[in-house]
Parts: sequence; structure tokens; C-alpha cells
Amino acid sequence: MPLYEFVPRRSNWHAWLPVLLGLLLFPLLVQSEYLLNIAVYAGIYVILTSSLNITNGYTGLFSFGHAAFYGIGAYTAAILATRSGIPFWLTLPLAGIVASAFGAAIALLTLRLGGIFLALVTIGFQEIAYLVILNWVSLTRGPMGIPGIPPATIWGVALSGNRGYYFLILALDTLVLFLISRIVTSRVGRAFVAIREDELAAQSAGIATFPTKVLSFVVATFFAGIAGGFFAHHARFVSADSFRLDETFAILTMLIVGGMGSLPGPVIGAVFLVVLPEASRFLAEYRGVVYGLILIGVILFRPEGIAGVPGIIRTRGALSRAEKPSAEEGQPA
Amino acid sequence: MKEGIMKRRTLMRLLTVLGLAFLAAPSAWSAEPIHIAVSAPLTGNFAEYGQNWQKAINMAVEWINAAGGINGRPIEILYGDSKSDPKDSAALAQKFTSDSRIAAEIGDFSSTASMAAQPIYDRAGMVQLSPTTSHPMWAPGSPWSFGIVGTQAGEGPFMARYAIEKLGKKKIAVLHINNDWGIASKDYFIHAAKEMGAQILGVESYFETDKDFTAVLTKLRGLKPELIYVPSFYNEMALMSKQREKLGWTDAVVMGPGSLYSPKLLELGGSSVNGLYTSAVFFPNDPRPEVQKFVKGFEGKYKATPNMFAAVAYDAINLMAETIRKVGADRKAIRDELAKTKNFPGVTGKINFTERRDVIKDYRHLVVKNGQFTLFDK
Amino acid sequence: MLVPQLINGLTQGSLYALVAIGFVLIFGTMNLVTFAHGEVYMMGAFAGALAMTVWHLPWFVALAMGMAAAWVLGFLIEKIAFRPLRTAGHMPPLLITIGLSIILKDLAVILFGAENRPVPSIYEQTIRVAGIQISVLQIVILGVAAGLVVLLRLLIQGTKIGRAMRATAQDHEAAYAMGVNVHRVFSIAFALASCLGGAAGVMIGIYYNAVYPVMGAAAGLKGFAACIFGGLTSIPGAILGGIIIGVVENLTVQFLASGYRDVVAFLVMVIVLVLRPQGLLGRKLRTV
Repeated sequence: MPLYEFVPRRSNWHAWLPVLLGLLLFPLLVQSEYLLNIAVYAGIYVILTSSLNITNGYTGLFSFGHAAFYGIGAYTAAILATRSGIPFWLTLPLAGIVASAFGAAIALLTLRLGGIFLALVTIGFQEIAYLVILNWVSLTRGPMGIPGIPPATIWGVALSGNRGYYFLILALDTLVLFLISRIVTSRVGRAFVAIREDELAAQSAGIATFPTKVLSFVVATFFAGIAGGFFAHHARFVSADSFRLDETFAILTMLIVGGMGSLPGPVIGAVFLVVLPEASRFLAEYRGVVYGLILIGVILFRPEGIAGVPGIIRTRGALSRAEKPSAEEGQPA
Repeated sequence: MKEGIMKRRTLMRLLTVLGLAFLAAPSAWSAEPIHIAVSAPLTGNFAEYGQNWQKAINMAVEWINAAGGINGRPIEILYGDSKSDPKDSAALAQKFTSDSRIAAEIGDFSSTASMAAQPIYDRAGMVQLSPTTSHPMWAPGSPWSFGIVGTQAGEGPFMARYAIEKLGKKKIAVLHINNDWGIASKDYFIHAAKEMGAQILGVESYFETDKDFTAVLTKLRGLKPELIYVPSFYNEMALMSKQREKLGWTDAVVMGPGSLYSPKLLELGGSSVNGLYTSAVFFPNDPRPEVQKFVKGFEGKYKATPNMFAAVAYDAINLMAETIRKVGADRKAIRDELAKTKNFPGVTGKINFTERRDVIKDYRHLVVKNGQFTLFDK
Repeated sequence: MLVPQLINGLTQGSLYALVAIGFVLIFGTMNLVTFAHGEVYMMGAFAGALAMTVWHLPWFVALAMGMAAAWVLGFLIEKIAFRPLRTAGHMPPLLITIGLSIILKDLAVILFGAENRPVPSIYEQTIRVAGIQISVLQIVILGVAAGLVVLLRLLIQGTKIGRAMRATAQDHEAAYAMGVNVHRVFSIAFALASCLGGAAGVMIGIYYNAVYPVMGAAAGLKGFAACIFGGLTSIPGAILGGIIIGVVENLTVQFLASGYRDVVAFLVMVIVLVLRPQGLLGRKLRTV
């Protein structure tokens, strides 16, 4: 079975259980706060990349606004925790809910647009979200960011070191990946893929494409919001510039490099691209250059990435439908 | 048995020291260094300020180590580049506080970055001595935080008196950088200016990354102020002044706090910054011997006159070294001794901490004349 | 203060228009979007700034050098990112240009440093027209932008390559069948687009007295918004879009707050895309 078809099941426990056990033992072998910190960041990006994969990979809707939803989640948690004293176990789901509410609004407004136009609107939304966070000083403290976010708590005990956060994000990653695997193997997940492959055919096969696409967006942005909520309680400080277009591009690069449309792809991409720059400190100032070259190399020579569905980036569905607006043609396809 | 362990330990330590001395042969130190961390913007928008710190701190450390270090131990600085980004300064704080070698920290540059790292130093119990953070709420925020540049609570009213009593300008507009420092700076100035009977015609803000000031200057010009007060840094002030000149707006006086005081402002701003009023806690022509030693040394080493940012960093490292000389490299002892500082002869004036752990400074009136900062004496 | 703000807006808008025309040339002929346009603009700006600060050349020579540098860069980008992926749809080339934009931004930091690089002032005088003070530099910038648009129009209408571009824009398969060297047209269109971006970069550097590595991001996005506003394929639409965004931005500062100026550009972009995806003047390039 090729890697991109891998889905964890009870029957293939011998493949995923050792990995999970290894990850559980990792912090016992590694004492360094610094290394654990990198591992926690990798965990956050696993959620971000895997959730972006739902829209961009499975459903073929190219969103360029993921960092905005991530930021909305982070700010939701930060504001609720610092102003209203709401505890961590409530701010986390609320962060997801608020982000997915924005996701739903954007989806309802824009999903009638196809391919590249959706990408453009989400870029616009990404920039607007950033600028509103920056300007709405009374709510977000604008360019100063929100300091003093309380740490995450488990059964009333506040986490102090990265070891606690490591186990927390590991649990969260396991939960999120489990939920995503259940979604994509369900009827809804097959509808996502059908829309990506050929929207018209999906429609004639009786799939309600518009609600399905909205659902895909809502699920993806919900998990992005959760990642944001975790980030806020881990970094204990949020500021607008963590959630700019660059961040969307970074998440997108992880997804492309790891591979779209599969479960392992985004996980591999996220871990690889978080660890690589840290492991190659000597590359310090060339970090962006290395990122860019890897992205270009992958697109040119292995468009499906490390573990993506082959040919996905060129499928004829919503990803690459060539539409060109003109007065004669009226609305884009 | 116990003796045996002791002996073995001593032997190990001796071997380690010998090994280290061998490895670090050129420096010829026999004792372990004292580590002080510096969190500063070495790259990014504020890189020039951080590099000024670095120059001054490196020179001071060179001098201290050349004179035998601190009780025979050399100082070693561990720099961390925060870009003055609160995210990075908080991450550096994690790294520094978990490194048991580090005795204390100097930094960060902006109020926003320092305040984001504050809870981490507070929790870990490590001194955070900032050369430049001047937000009045900063130092009181933690018993481990110290500020030596003075606060806006002192400088704001000083500048307001300068504008209203010395220059006689009562119609004032304000254009401030939109961060913790800029907002505090604006608030204290406006509060004092209003009490002195001035009229604030308008308040505008800009972001650290802005380069285009034509629109906001055009807007302020329409209010016809006699004076614009601009809490900003020299980079933006230089751009602002040039753009103001091009718009032909010459009938208002420009004034800003001591953050503007740098030879770089003159270099970047050229003729457009003539007639700009500012203040300074450090002035290179000050005849005091400690100032002249610093200025001569800096000019000899770097072929440039030190600015205010270099001066406060120089004071910060010397004060830290002096404190450690008295009580050793214990984190808690450093804090307690630092709080007791009496009349430390800094190049930016005598340092005495208030109970809020900040400093009250003597400011001087400056004005730019013919491309030079000169003392204003009228 | 309304008239001076309109003039400020017009000046800025004319430079956004140059960037936006670049997107139209690329989308119009190749039906593709680039994300590296802002970085081409930035590189052009640096080339111009270096010409003025290191070699002390007059501004118009610097302008020519910035345009030439951007031309070369555009030519290379087309070769690397677009040529091998001619038939791959929208996304692969778009993603490659994202990679290129990350690389170019970092290269600029490595080569020139992250800080502002000052650009000397020119034309510091102002003149008075009907009681309103106008900066001479603003007039020069408007003149440069207008001149370049006129030159572009002459090129598209009056030359053989212009005709080939128009034919390709209409239907590149038919143009290819009629013997037009479509690859050459793509290459020239891309280089020409980059060259206009570079010109805008040099002029903005002179206008604000500063160039810096991240300057391309905002300019690229705003030029792009202007291009969408005008309908992606219309040069007059892009010019109109650029000027409207420039003017609205300055009026936002005047009547709202300076922090919200950029929000307006993107809000306009999103609203236009949602309500009227073909833009205000969405037509094919041939109607230029």
C-alpha cells in the first residue's frame, strides 16, 4: 500500500502504535527545554497543516487564509483568558468555534467562486484580518500584542515547562488526526474528493456540492482555531505579526512538501519543515532561501510532495479549472 | 569516604579547569567566566539600535576583562537576537532563564518586547535590566525588572515645559509610534501640556513599519499647529522630515523625545532636520571624565561618535559588572544589591533606583543647528 | 486639505497602477497569476537606489537601471517558474512564485541588510498652482507614470510584438496556429510587466526616501487589488483601479485613521471579487 493511502486502523496497529509509543518516550530521553519547544511547535504545525489539507488537499479548494483563522483562534483564547478569566479547557474549543464561524462566513460569501478566485478572496481576507487585529487596539492591544496569557492547565495544575505542553500537544494531535481520519473516510470525505476530482460529476452523482464545500471550510478553520488557542496558551503572548500572509505561505509550503490529499503527507511536511531549519542552524540567514528552493524543487520535480496523492496538484477539478472573466462570458465558471 | 569524594571532586574540577584553560588558551583565564545574557534587536527594524548596544557592551567587557575581570573571572556575554519582537524576546527569556550559567540579563530594547518577556524572568527569578525600556508601567511590573533610561513620566512633562514655557508654542499636534512606548510617551506629554494651558489640536499614530507619512502629515498640516510633538525613533523621523520638506510644510516646529538623539538622524535627515528640538540624557561633549573616557574609547574603536543607545547600554553593563563584583554571580543577590544602587556614576548621569526600580534622569535641552546637535540655552 | 490629499493619492495611485498593469499583462496573455511581482518591484527599487547612492547617478539613469534589472529578473522568472509548467493549470506556477518571492526577499536581506536604505531626495521644491502648494516631485512621478503608460500603449498598438501580444491574449492556440511565437510573447510580456514594476519601485523609493527588503509585499498585494478591481485583463481598468485605491487610501487617513488605509484596498478587492468577479472594466486585452 502506498504511503498516501495510509489511514490508521485497528488492523494496521503495527505501523502507527510504535510511532506513538516512540513519541511518548521522546521527552523522557530528551531533557532540553529547547528541543522540547521545537517538538511542541512541530505539533502545532501538524494541526495547522493537516487542517489546511482538508480544504486544499481533499476538497481542492485553494485557501490562502489559513494563518488568519489560526490568528483568530489565538486572539480569541488570549482575550477570553486575560479579560474574562475563562479557563484553558474552555478557551480552546471556543477558539475553534470562533475561527470556524469566520470560516463559515467566508465560505458562504465566496465558495461560489472557483479556483483562483477563491485563492484571491482568501488572501484579501488574510490581509484584512491582520490589519483589523493591528488597528483594533481596544480589543487586541494592536501592535503591542497581548502579554500575560495564563498557561494551560490540566486538572487545575498549570503547566510550567515544555514537557507538559509536549504531552498536551501530542494528545491534541492524536485526537485531531483521529477525527480527520474519520471524516475523510466517511461519506462526507468521499464527497470532498469527488468535488476535487470533478465538481460537475459530483453534482450529477447527487452530492450537494455547495454545503459540502462550506462544511470542508468550517472543519478546516475549526482545527486552525484550536491550534491558535493552544499557541496562545503556550507562547503566553500573541501579536498580529505571527499571523500574516507569510505564515499562510509557510503552512502551505509544509502541506505541498509533505503532500496533499493524504493523511501522512501534512504530518511529514510539518515535522520536516519545522525541524529542518532548527537542525541546520548554520544555514541561519539562508533559511528562507532553503524553504523557497525546497518548495520550487518539489513543485517542479515531485508535485505530489513526499506522501501526497500523485497528480493531485494538476487534477482537473476545482484546483486548476481555467477560468478567465470577460464581458462576453459573464460570470466565471 | 566523604573525604575521598571530596578529593575526587577537587581533582575533577582541577582537570576540568585545566582542560578549559587549554582549550581557551589565548584568553589565558584560569577561572570560569561570568555569563551575562543580552536580549537585543540585532537584526530587523531596530537592528541599528541593538548593534549600538553591542558595540558599547563589547567595548566595556573588553575593558573590564583587560583589567582582570570580576574578582579574577572574565565576563562573557551571550547575545540573543530578539529583533525586538515580543515573540522572540519571550522565547529568549525561556532560553536564558533555563541556562543555569547565566547570572542576569540585559534587555530588551522596546517596552513591548521587554514587557512580553517580563513574566518569564519574574517566574524564574532573574534580573532583567533594560537599557532603554521607559514605559512607566514596566519596572514596577516585577521586582526583577530594572530600567535605567528614565521613564516617560519624567520625560513627557520635561518636553511639555520645553515646548510651552521655553519655546512659547501652545497649539500642538502629536504624531506618535503606535506601541507601548509611543502611547505612554504621548499620554504623559499631552497630560502635562494640557495642564500648562496648551491646546492639543490632533493626535495621529503610525506603525513601526510605515514609510509613507505624506498623507498623515498633510492631515496634521490642515490643523495648523505651531508645534508637532513626535515620539518616534530617528529612522522614521528622518523620513518624516524629508517628506515634510517636500510637501513644503515649514511653518511648524518639530519636537521629539530623546530617542531622536543620534548622529544617524543628522546623517539620514540632512537639512530637513534643522530646527528640530529634542532632549538628551547623554551628551558626548560632557566634560565629566567617565563620559570622556567612554566617548574617546568608542571613537577610537569604532570611528563614530556614540549615541544615546550606546551610552545607556554601556551604563547597563558597567552597573551589572559592579553589582556582581560586590555580591558574586548569584541571581537573587544581584537583584537585592542592584536595588540598593547609590550614585552609580553612569555616562547618562548618576543612577539611583526609586522604589519602582526606575531612574529619575536629568534631561538637557537640545536643538539641531546647521546639521549639529547643540545645547539650547535661552 | 482635500486637494493636497487627492494629489497625494493620485501620486501613489499612479505607481500602484504601474504595478497593476504588470499583473494585467501577465494574466491577460498567459492567464496566470504571479506572486513574485512585489519582489521584482523591490529588486528594481534596490537597483535604482544603489545607482543613486553608490554610483551617484542622476535619478532618470537610476530609473532606467531599475527597469533593466527588473526586466532581467522577470525574464528569468518566466523561464524558471512558468515555462516548464505551461499546461499545469493555475496552482503550480502560483506556488513556484510564492517560493521565488520568499527567496528574493531573503536574498535582499542577505545582500542589502534588513534595514532601510536611504535614497537621496530630488526636486525638494514646491510650486503654487491656484493657491495650492504642490510638490515638484509629485508632478515628476505622475509624469513618469503617464509617460510609461503612453509608451506601453504605443508598443501594444503600433508594433509587431504588440500585435502578437494582442493576438495571444485573445486566443493563444489560434495565435500559435497563425504562426505567432507564443513562447516569445509570454517571455516579453512577463519581462515588460516586471520592468513596469521595477519603475514603480524606483519611483516609490525616491518618493519615500527609503527602500527595504519587505517593501514588495504591500505593493504587490495592492497592485494586485487594483488589477482585480479593473477586471484582471483590462489595462485602463488597472490604471483606474490603482488610482482609486491610492486616492481612497489617502482619504481614509484624512477622515478615518492612518492605520486603516490598507484595509480599504483589500476590502475593495474582496467586495469586487464577491459581487462582480469580472471587475469594473473586465474585458479582453484587445480592447485596449
